[in-house]
Amino acid sequence: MKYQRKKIRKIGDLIRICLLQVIILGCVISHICVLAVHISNENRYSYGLIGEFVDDVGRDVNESVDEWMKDATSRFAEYLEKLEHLNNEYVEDIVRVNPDLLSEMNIVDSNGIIKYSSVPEYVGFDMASGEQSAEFMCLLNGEDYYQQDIRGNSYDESIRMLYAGKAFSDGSGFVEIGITEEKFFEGMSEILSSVVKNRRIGLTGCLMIVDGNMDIIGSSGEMYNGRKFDAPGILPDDDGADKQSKTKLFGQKCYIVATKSSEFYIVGCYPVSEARRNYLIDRLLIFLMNAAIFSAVFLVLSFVLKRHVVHGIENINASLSRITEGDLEEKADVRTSLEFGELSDGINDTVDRLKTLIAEAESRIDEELETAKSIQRDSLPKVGDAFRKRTDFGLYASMDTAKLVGGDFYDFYFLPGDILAVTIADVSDKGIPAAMFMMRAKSILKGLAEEGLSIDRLVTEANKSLWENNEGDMFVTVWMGFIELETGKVRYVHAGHTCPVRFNKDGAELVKQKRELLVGGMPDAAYHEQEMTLKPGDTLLLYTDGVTEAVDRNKEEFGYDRLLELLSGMPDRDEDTDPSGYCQMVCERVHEEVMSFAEGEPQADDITMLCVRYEGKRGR
Amino acid sequence: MLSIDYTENGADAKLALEGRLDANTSKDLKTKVGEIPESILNIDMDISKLEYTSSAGLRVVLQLHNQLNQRGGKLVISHPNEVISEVFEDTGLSDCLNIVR
Repeated sequence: MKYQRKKIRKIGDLIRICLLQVIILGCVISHICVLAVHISNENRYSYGLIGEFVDDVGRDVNESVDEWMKDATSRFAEYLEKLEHLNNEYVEDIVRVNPDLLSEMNIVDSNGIIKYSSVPEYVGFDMASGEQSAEFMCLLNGEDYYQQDIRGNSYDESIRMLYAGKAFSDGSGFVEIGITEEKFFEGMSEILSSVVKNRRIGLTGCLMIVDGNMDIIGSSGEMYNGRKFDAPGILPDDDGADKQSKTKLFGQKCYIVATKSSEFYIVGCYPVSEARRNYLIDRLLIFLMNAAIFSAVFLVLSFVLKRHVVHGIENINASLSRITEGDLEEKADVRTSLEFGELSDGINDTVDRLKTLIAEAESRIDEELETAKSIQRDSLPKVGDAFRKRTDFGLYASMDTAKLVGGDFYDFYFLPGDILAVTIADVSDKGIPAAMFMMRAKSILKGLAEEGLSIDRLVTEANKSLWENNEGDMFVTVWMGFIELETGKVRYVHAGHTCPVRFNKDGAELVKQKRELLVGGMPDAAYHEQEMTLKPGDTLLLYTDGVTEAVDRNKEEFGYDRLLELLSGMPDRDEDTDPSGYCQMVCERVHEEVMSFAEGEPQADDITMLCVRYEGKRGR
Repeated sequence: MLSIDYTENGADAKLALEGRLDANTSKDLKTKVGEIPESILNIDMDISKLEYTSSAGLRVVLQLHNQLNQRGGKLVISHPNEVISEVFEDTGLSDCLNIVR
């Protein structure tokens, strides 16, 4: 049974293809998962990055603002403490000459009442009475400095001011200075613009500081300085928490984090395109790593599968195909796993069982063949000692069968008129059919001879008979002769058989006259009688091609020449040997010679011989 | 070993044999001959490269000869080597087969 290898793939290839599909699918899924996580992390990472910058700037802004106010307040407190006399006009003057720093100045006594002020209406105002101003009372309780955020003051909510206060060192009260929102932003913008001027997020990301009026007072590289901030929606509410967003800012889509620090908004933006670019490289690396890992997994898995499964199957298959080709000694021996071990054992057991069955069947067939052989042998006339008493002629015949049942036969019998009929024949096949055909041929020939037919008619009729129900499927080569014992005249038909040898003490020759067609091969073949005369002392050897076609180990045939040489050198019968004994000796010598020529090569064909020694009247 | 080369041309066919026609290989030839369609009448059997034939081989040749005869066709055996010519002589087949030397 042969599979069409083009249509059905090998299991190794199938497994590899399946594995490859699974691995590719796994690789894609894994990559998608990693990518999804990575994309969601891109937001987190970007916001984190911006957040740090924004927080840094926020702290710097806080510090700058606090420092600026504290510095200004401390300087005024120090200056005022040195003065001996103080009045409202003087305080007004101080405010007037420091327009950038001051919008308002109040001197508060140790009871919390405004003593002097640049705004005359404020004089006498009790600081503890207003919510905003009351916060400064801490300066009378040991605090040295206090600063507020911008808000409306206690006197008039519409006046938005930034207040800071410092206690006098002698405990006589404190000074409170105030600066209007506009002046504060104006003053701070110069200071704060430097905070972000040289800072950047990544390569193209930008930091900016926006004041309460939505003016951009500082930006990375002073890119946006002086412009209005056009997206107030992204700024945090007053609760102070950072606000993250991803939106367009100045025409570019950015990740944005905004925070509020001391009245200013710190905005950090990081263009999405740059973030993408950075992460693209990461993603490429992740993809390559993914591909490398899955390739490695594929290689390892296919190696393992090949080693443990495919090799096993291939080995088992190889063993099986050797077994199906007829090598029953082959053992399947794959022990890489329990399953393959069991499979191997199963195959070996099956083959062993098969061998036993075959051996049983063989021995049964052998027995039958042996029986067939013996039936065949028994059908041939016995040589025995029947002719030992005849001195006018001698006869001996032998058949050494090859292993198979053959189709050779010899026959001899007397016919009326002191005629000895001798036949040697060879059926063109071996085995039981040939043996049966041989029996048929033998009985037809003998039957017709006993009916008294002349030898040529006899063979012609036998040919017709054997053709029927056979039609040339089998044929038989025949040499058949009627020997007149009185005269030594031999009438014979030579139908496709090997040429007999006639020899005497002077030499040997092939009886090689007209040879006619073998018997049973053609329906209307006609056979002709031929004649020769044996002289007393002549011996005629009939044989089958088992003699001449016996081969030695070089495949050389024994051949006619060796046979003629052997027979021409054969010693003549001595007085002590009866003619049949002489014939026996001839047959045995030829057999020996053929056997020693073949030197143990297996005998391919039956070796059949029939030897007739003619003595004629001489012997009587 | 026996190699069989068979080609058809209308009602004619060529059958070239090469190697040895023994008991085993003659079975192959017999199978091949059995596959030859009824429409083939004349076969030219080239045995110039056939080294040897056993009696089993002769049987197949003879059968083919008889088959074609029955159909009214003809088997021509061309160029047998010496050994095979001798076999044809010995068996008397050379008289009834159409052998071209």
